[in-house]
Amino acid sequence: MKDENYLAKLLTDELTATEKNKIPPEDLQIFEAIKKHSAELETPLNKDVSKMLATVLHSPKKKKRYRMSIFQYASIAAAVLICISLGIFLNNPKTTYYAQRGTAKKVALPDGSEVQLNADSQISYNTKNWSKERTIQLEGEAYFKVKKGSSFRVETQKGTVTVLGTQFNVKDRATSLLVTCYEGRVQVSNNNTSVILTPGNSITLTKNEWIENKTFVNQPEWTQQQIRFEKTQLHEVIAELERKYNITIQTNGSVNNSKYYTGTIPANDLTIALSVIEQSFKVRFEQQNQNSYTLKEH
Amino acid sequence: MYQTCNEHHFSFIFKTYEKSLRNFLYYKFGDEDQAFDTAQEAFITLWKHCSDVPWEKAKGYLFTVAYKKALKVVAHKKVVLQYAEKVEPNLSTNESPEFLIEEAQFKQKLLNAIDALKPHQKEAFLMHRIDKIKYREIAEALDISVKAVEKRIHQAMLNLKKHIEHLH
Repeated sequence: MKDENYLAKLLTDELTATEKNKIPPEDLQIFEAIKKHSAELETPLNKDVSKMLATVLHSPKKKKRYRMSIFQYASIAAAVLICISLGIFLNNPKTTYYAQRGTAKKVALPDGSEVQLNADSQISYNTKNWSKERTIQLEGEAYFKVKKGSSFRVETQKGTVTVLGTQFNVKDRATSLLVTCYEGRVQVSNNNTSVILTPGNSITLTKNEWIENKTFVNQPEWTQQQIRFEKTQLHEVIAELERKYNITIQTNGSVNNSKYYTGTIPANDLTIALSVIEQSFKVRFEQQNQNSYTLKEH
Repeated sequence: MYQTCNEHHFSFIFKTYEKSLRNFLYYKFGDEDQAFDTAQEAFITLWKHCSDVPWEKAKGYLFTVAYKKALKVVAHKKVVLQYAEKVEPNLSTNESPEFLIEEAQFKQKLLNAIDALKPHQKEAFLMHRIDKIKYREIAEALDISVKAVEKRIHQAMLNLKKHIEHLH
């Protein structure tokens, strides 16, 4: 035999045919049987290792000592320079948050105040001036829990809401602005008028009128997975469903806006929500595909 | 690039090698609990020194650490092995009942023969056959040359055959 450890080669299939032929056939048969059956062996270990990884990852890691070359120092210096110059030229301290259709989002503001954004809603504010001036631009609907401090302003296209520490909801829609106060005092104003809301009161601004209303809950229904409507027309209800469930509802022309709906529907169960609206307005929603429906009026 | 210190990447090392590492230690101790504890210690050592161990070296490091820790342990119980259950039953084969009985007898003889192997031949043989670890990697783990590993395997094969024939 050329290779003294030829049986090690047999196990790794590296033995040439000539070398193999030198092994007596009856011996080769046993070696091949050993090779075959030893590969079917296993250990009886069955201890649960699921916690071992966590134990290991929670054990302490030795701190790495960084030894940097001059080149590495130079590249860090260059990176810092680039950041500084970008910061000077692209200084845009505006922060924007957007909750997409079919979602909601919770945002913590720098002063600890909290904003919950409803579906398809956006806020933005100036980070740089925030400590001096707490002003937020809102499109859509949001619920604010404001920490006490200097005045807090929410600006919309149709009017501005000013408060001290309090909790309130602002709903800015195509034709109306609805503000509800849950705690503290809220001032709502546009170019012409101004009104102060106390807890449990809400106000709706439309093109021509200010409608005062009451609320009997202590935070907006939408933060509790519900959608609340107060004297709302069908087209507004449809827009709200589309926004909240991220669906489209084809209306095939005009919608009958002679009826109003007041009530609450679930924000997390489309089947029930649609059936409530179907019964209230005497209409039918026909499903076209997964996210698309057609409105049929009887 | 993979980093040993990255928890995600480390988990990958863990999942890939925990079984063969525990097996490796089991061949040494014949004791499952001891193998488990020592494997855990080896992983903890690798994690602690992760910044010094490049990704490609992690496996070798792990086995070397385990091997060194194992040297301090002197528990030598019997190593129990079993055959993996076949996935597909041998129904379609034309193997005769006599052949199947013969095969079962052979498998039992092989277990006895492995049990009778010298420890250093046994561990190298089992690492290769059960855990499919390459000779080069076995050499690293046991801190010996590849040639020495091949010699142990070769000797193991000869001894196994001798033992099986002797039992005829």
